[in-house]
Formats: sequence, structure tokens, C-alpha cells
Amino acid sequence: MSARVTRTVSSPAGRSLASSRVRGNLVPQDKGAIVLDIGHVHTKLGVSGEPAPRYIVKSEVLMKPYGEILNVWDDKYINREELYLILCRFLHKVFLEYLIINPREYRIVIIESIVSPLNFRNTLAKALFIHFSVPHVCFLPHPSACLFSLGSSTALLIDIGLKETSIVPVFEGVSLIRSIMQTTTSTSSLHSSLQLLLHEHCQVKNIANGDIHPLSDNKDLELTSSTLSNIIMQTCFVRSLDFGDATPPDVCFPINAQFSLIISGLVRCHVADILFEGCDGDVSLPISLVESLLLCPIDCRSQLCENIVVVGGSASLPGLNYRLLEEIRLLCGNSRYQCLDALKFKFHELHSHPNYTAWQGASIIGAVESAILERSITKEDFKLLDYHLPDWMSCNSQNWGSLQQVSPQKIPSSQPGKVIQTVKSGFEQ
Amino acid sequence: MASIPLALEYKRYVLYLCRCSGLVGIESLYFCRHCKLLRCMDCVSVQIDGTCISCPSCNDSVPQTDAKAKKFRCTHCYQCPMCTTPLATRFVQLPPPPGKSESAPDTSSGKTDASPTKEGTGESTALTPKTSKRLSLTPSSLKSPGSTKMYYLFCTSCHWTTREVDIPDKRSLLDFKEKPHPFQDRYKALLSYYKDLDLYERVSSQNMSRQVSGRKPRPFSSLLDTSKYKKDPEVQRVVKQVQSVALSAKDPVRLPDSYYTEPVDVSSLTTIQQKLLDPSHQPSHVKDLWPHPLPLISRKTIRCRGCDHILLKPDVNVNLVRFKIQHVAIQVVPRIRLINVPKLTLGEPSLVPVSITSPVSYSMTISFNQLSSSKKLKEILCPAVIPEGSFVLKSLDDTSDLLDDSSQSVSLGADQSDYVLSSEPGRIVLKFGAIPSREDIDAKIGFEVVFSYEPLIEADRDPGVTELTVPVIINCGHSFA
Amino acid sequence: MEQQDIYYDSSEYIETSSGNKVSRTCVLCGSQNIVLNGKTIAQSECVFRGDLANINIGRQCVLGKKVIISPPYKKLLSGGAFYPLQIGDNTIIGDNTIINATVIGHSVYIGRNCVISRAVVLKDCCRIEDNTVVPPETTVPSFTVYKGNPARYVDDLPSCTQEVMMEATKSFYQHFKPQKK
Repeated sequence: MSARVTRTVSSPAGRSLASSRVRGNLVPQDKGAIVLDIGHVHTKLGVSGEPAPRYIVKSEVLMKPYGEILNVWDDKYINREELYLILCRFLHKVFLEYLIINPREYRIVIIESIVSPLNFRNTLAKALFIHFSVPHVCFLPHPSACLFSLGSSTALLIDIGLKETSIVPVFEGVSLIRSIMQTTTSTSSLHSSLQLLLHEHCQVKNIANGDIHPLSDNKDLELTSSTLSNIIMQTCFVRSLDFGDATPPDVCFPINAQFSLIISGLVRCHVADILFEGCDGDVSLPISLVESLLLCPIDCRSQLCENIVVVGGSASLPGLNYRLLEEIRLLCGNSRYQCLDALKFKFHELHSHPNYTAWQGASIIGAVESAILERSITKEDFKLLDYHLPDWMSCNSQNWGSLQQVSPQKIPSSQPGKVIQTVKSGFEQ
Repeated sequence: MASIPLALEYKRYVLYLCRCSGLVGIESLYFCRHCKLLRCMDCVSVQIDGTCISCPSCNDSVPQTDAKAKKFRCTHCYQCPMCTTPLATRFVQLPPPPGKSESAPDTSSGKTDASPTKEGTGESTALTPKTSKRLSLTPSSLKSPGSTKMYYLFCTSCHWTTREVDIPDKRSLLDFKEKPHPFQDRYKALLSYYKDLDLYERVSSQNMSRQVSGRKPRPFSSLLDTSKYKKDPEVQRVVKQVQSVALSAKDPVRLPDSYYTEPVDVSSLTTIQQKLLDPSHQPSHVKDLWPHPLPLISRKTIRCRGCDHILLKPDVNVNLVRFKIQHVAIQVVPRIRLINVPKLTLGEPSLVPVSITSPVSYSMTISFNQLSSSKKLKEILCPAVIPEGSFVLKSLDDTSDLLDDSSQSVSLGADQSDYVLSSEPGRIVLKFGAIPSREDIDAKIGFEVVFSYEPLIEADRDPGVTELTVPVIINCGHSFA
Repeated sequence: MEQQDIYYDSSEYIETSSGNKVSRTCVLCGSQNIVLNGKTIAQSECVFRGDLANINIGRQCVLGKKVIISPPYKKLLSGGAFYPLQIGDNTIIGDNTIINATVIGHSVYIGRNCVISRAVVLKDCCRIEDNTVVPPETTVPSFTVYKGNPARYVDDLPSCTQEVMMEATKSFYQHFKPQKK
């Protein structure tokens, strides 16, 4: 009985305290940050202070009224005004349907690739600040984010993305910008290699009557990119060079109710070779790695080599790291790379799945409130910057500090409508 | 002959142009009584209604704070890890245990039938939410004396069960908890490490430069770089501590030979989509799957972006489809409809019959203007013939059915009646025209509808008649004669 | 698009005093257990399994052709039983759809060739797209669109769905006319 009495007495006081904090327009301390990693295929979304994202969803959005499904990185719109609307609707889905939060009450941490297109960054910031009126956005570079999840300050990062693989050496927290290597040898080259090999070597089995015929005869059987990535993830692995020419057994992979694909063992172990041969005339992974090392200062190299980290969706291919080491060792025999021969190469064992390593790091740092607030851009800053984000490298430049002292002005409320207006006119067809 | 109403088909013939130049169906337009503006979903501000968070399966309303603590997932409804269907609950009634050992459930599915137990469909969550909640929270309240109910989960769509993956039956639905993240301890260690480091950095920088006003953000590298604290034993101690749990660079392991020799059964492996349903574990084998708590859903409060007045506020009871506040365009804007898909002739004016229905209880004056549109709109529209002058839509009251139609019809000028195909209270059918210019695309005509608006509530600041304008675009199809 | 007039053969349909129009080709088993609350249209070759349990259909519903409505069976500890099936007002059910649900709310749109499996609950104002299979014992919440096999959430419905559905079913009823001879 007495417990009930105390509860009723204490609750109104508690409520008024909470409401006064909200009214004071402060970001309440316990809410944490929303951490977003908008990838080319999947978006990792969640709340800081949690070891894994809450959802990993496709970076796609349904555009009404015509009902087309668009990827937020769609090449057609990446440099156009329509991107604003696509991002607004995508973020709406992320905040209000998946996370069920009101974004204006949270600080936001966005993981950005160091090579993300300028228009994409600006449009994303515009969508967050104007359409969702969030108070703070922090753009966290991808390499730093990965390092936070490792607890280490030095690493040689290999990020295998959909369209690009980037190799970023980070020494004592500083990304060595001159040594960054980019190559188009990436997940999409895996896909195209698989498609090619399947058409050459694979057969289709009709489940109903047991007929077997080559895939190249079956023109109308289309392999979508999600089927291709499932084939890679479920059946393929990276062959180690010392195993010789052994052929693993064939695998039967059902595609739909009618057909299944017989994936030959050769395809299974040779698909990933494209990563070590290079694709479309671009350099392979091991070459870009050693080239990047050559560009690093000599006294950093040994530490970097002992801290190699492979992240990205395709990093979970079995045997990838071992083969990478074998290939690097082979390259070290080459006269150009002889200086690297004495180095020890060690790979980090990740404590997360490689597809959300960066997200995990950002979630750690997102929970450190003061660190994030200090490095965030506020709505007022963004307005003063004339709706253009500073480059990620110039965040600590001099004019940034002076920016803070200018008195913030309110963004006129008519702004959101205007932006959408200009954006939407591009969609009419 | 269509057997169900065509009006609900997804192909839309008539779209309204919002002022933010978005094309939407009239159902998704909101009307702000204060700004007297139509707004679509892209130009309103949408917020989560904290009182309307509920589970889509058991319909229990969950308070926002509770929901937040559970990461916005239901505590006793689960989702199939194979196909995302909500899982149904089944229970096995065990006889009163003579010794405790017997209650250890038979995990190999099917065997329970042989033992003297009764198997029944538990009141599934879908059927009677209230009972099932009682069942799940306090299973002891329903059981017959002595016997125990053991629950397991079952997918009604793909027939996956928790027994299939060797999850033992549980006494309560709450026991199917999510497994903790495999590296949770390490994550926590890192988290407190960076918190300490940030605090240290803050304190030391304040000591150094107290006189510098304004903050000067450091790059993120400053948090990573611990070399500057080499002389500080306290920081070094923390760094050592975290490195002992965090750093683990090793030589990569060679793949076991089984990869080259063992056959692979694709049906025992999970797809990427199934893996990503559980981001923290991402099981690659079907046998490692675990039921996921069902994500909650929420209803939204919608506000006008201009004046912040509420346009839509859902009822607190999540089982009702009523709204506390609902200001939608369908209540004030005349409904424009195509009578049928018109037969068109290329380059010649073709008749497009259009019906206009008034939703309001006052008589509405309506007129049409040519669309003053942007360049891009002009590209997709073809020239239109639009009725001139204004038309009056008499209010549709309930007694009108009983009266003679002719006495109610609209009074029109001689030239105007040329445009009218038929008229009745609240509804008028007018002749529009389209001059299709291209054969390859749908012929679309656009025009502005100007209609009168009288606020229903006298308290609204300026009572009386206001004229509102909304641009409309009609897709006439491309059935060329 | 405006609802077109639909003319039916007046000899095919029976009109009850409350305005229900039921095709003579419909199979009504256990007709004493079937309640149509008025202005409901049941088109040709629908099957109502009223012999299993009560079927209660609200006002102004539209049932397409070859719709099968059958009350759900529920297994209990002591055997099993058929449970009554309830359908709310202004609901539209497309051709060839099989309904085995427990409750279907008002203003629900169910497309063609759907299977609404055993003991499903469709809340008010939801929409099931064509060719969808809603798995047994699931609940579809209000203002959502479900699609696929198994049915998954794909989209939201606007807040004025109830008004839209009322208008659609009302005008359909008004335009569902006997053939003039």
C-alpha cells in the first residue's frame, strides 16, 4: 500500500522534469544517436550503444504514384535534384517505419565513404536538416569508423564494396591520403565473372521432367543480382593456391520452382579468381594492396602490414584472407615489391560480421555524446555554409572555428516546400 | 465486365498536383484549414505517435518507453527466420512430473506424440490476443493442476518450427529471447575505453587552452591517436587494457580440405536475406536460425509544415480506424473522375467526359483554368479543351433522392450547357477535350480546378467563401482510333 | 475512373428485401446460418459453407465470382470445432478468392485469386493484393497493403481508406442494375 502511495506522488514530478527538458530544446542525454551506413546494396541502421545494427535493409525505396523501386545510389539520379526526394522517402522509411523514432530528437551519425559523390553528401545533409529538421549530423569517415570497432589506431583497411574496393592505410589515427588506392575490382566484378562462368560451364535442370541443358540455351532464365550474390555466398569459396587443381563437387542450386542450376565445382572455386587477376583492366586486390604499401612511409609499413583488415559484404567469402596472403607473398618475389618481402602480414579477426564493421565502430563513438556533438554539423552551421558541406578532410580547418561564433539564424519555414518543388518537377514524365 | 469496383485498381487515371509539384491520388492529400493549402505526404511533417505503437500480430498497444527498451520489438510475438511470417504458438501439455527429469522436453520433433502428452494448437496469438497474452505471460494461470504447458513456435507458411533447430520447448513465450551479440563484452570494453579517452582529451585540452573561446572541433583521428599520451601512465594503462581484449591480428587460416571434397546442400544454407534478418548473428546454416521478435508498428501524427497544426491524429485505441483529428482533401476537394477510357484520334480534339463530385454540404462553385505549368510538365501534356465559365454544384442532401431530378438541375447559360453531359445534385458530368499529339505515350491533359471553400466551423478566423485552386492531371490512356 | 453500369440478367439474381443481390448459381449450404446484412452483392458461383458454422457478412459488400467462404476449423485439446466467420461492412472480395478467415474487418479490399487461410484476422481498412496467400493464423493490421506468397507488408494505405471504400462499394451497388428488356 505504501509503495503505491509513493509511486503516485513521485510520478508527476518525474514527468514534469522530463517535459521541461524537452521543452528546453536540448537533446536529452539518454537517447543516443542514430547510426546510418547507406551502402550501395544494403543500408545498416540502428542506434548507438548497441553492438549490431537493428536492421540491414536494401537501399531501395518505392516511389509513388508510379510504383517504381529505386536504389538511392541509382546512377540515373545520383547527380540530379530528384535525389533529394528519393533520399527523403528513403529516410522516412528508415526513421519512421524501421526505427520508429522522431529524428528531430536524436543526433545522427552518418558513415560516409571517403569517395562518396559530393552531390550525394550535400543532398543527404539537406534532407536531414531541412526535411527532417534534425539538430546535429555527424559525418564519420568510413576508415575511422572501422578503426573504432577494432580498438586499434593503425590498420590497413581493405573495403570491398559493390562497385569499388578502396585500400586505406591508417596510421596512428591518420588516414594516409596519398597512399589510398582505389580499384574497380569488387563485388560487381565477382557478379560479372560468375555470370560469365555460369554461361560457359553450367547446366540447367528442369525440375519437372529432369531435362538437363546448358544455361546458354536458356535465354529467358534471368539471373538477378540477388540470385548471383546468393550463389556466391552459399556455394563459392576462395581457392588457396597450394591446393592445386582439385575440383570440388558440383552443387545443385534451385532458382525457381521450375529450374535449378547445376553449378560445377570449377565455377565454385574459380569465381573469386577475378579479385586476384583484376577486372576491366583495373588492378587486382593484392597488387593495389602492395602498391598502397609502397606509397606509405617506410617506417609505417611494418605496423600497417601487421594490421590488415578486410571489410565489406564480400569479405565474408571463405578463404579470402588466406589467398590474399598467398598472392602478396608471390608478389613480394617480384623485384618491384622486394622491399616488402621481410614484412610480416597479419590479418585482423573481426569481432563483428564484416558487412557492419564500420557501423559497429560508429555505434561505439556515437554513444560518446560529447565526442559526437563536438564534431557534428548543426542545422545553423549548414545554413551558414550555404547548404554545402565542408569536405571531410577540411573539418578541422581554420574557418570552421570562426563559423561557430556567428549567431545562428533560423531557417525560414517555407524552405522545405521550395526544395521539394524544384526536385519534383524533374520527376514528371 | 468487371466484377469488383475498378475505382480501387492501382492504375490511376486522375492525379492531383500538389503545390510541391508532386503528383498524388486525392486520397493521400491533406488539407490544412488554417493555411487553406493542400499538402501531400512529402510536404507535411510526420511524427511517431507515442501512444499508438503496437504489435502487428497480437495488436497489443505498447507504451513508447517499454517499446524503446525492447528495441521496438514485441515481447511475445516472433517472426519466422525463414520467411518472416509471424510464428504461431503451439503447446504441449506435459503430465504432472513425478520427477523433474521428465519435464526435459523431447527435442526431436515428432517423438512427443508417442509420449503420453496431448498436443493442441495453443490459442494462437492471431485468434484471441487477450487470451494468448495471458497464456504467454503467466502460463501457470491456465494450466490444469499439476501439468505443465511447454510452448514451441511454428510457422504456418513454411512449416519451420523451433523444434527443427533444436530449440527446447519453453515454459513461457518470453523465454525465446534473442541470443546476445557474440562479442558483447568486447564491445562494452571498447565503449567505455572511448568514453574515458574522450573525457581525458576534454580535460587535458581545457587545461591547456582555457582562454581560447569557441570550440574548435578535432578530427576523429585525435580520438584514435593514443601516441600523444605516451607519457601519461594512466592513459597507457587503459590503452593496454583495451588492447588485450581488442587486438587480434593473426595469420589467416587456410580453408579446411572439406571445402574441396564435401558436397554442399544449398537447402541447408541460409540466403543473404535470411542472414540479414538477424544482423548480429547472421547465421549461415539453417540449423542456427533463431526466432526473431516481431517488429512493432506505429501510427503517425501528421502536421502542416507551414503552421504546425495537426492534420491527422490517430485514435489511442490501436484497434480502431478512427482518427481524433483528420483533415484530408477528400472532405473539401471536388472529386474528378474519368467516365470511361476515351477513344482518341491523333491530332484531333477527342471527347473526354469527366465527372465532378462535390463532397461538401454547401453548394460549390467550380470553374476551370488552363494549367500554367513548368516546362517539364508541358512536355508530357497534350493540349486540352476546357469548359469555360463556372458551374454550381448543389449540395447533396439526403432528401434529394425523393425529389424530381429536373427541378434540382443546374441553371446554365446557353453556351455553357454545351459542356454539360448530365447533372444532378452534387455531381456534374462535363465534356473535356484532348488533342493527342504523340502516339507513343499516354495522352495526358492538365487543368486547374477552381472551387469554392466554406469553412465548416464558424470559429475559423475568416468565415465566408474562399476560392481554392488545385491542378489536376488526367491520363486519358492511348486507345487511338 | 467512374464506376460503369453493370447489367445483370434479372433472372439470375435474387434480390432480398434488405437489398442483397445473390446469384442463383451460388451454393448456400446451411442457409439458416448465413446472414447478409443488406445491399451485399454475391456474384455467380460463390460458395457459402454455412453448414459448418455461422457466416455473417456486413452491409454493402461486393463478392466477386467463384468466391468460396468457409468458416475456419480450430483444433483444440478436446477435438476441434468450426468457428463462425465474420466479414465487416463495405468489404470487397475479388474473383476466385478463398476465404477461411475468422474475422475480416470493414472496408477491406481483397484482390483476385487470393487465399485467406485458416484463422486469419484482417483488421479494418487493409488491402490484400491480387494472387496473395495470407498464411494461417496471421493478422493483417489496419492501413497496410500485403502482397505475395507468403503475404508480406509492402505499403501503407491512406488515412481516408474507409471513405474511399464506402464510396466505391456504394457506387458499385448503385450501378449494379438488372438488364432492361
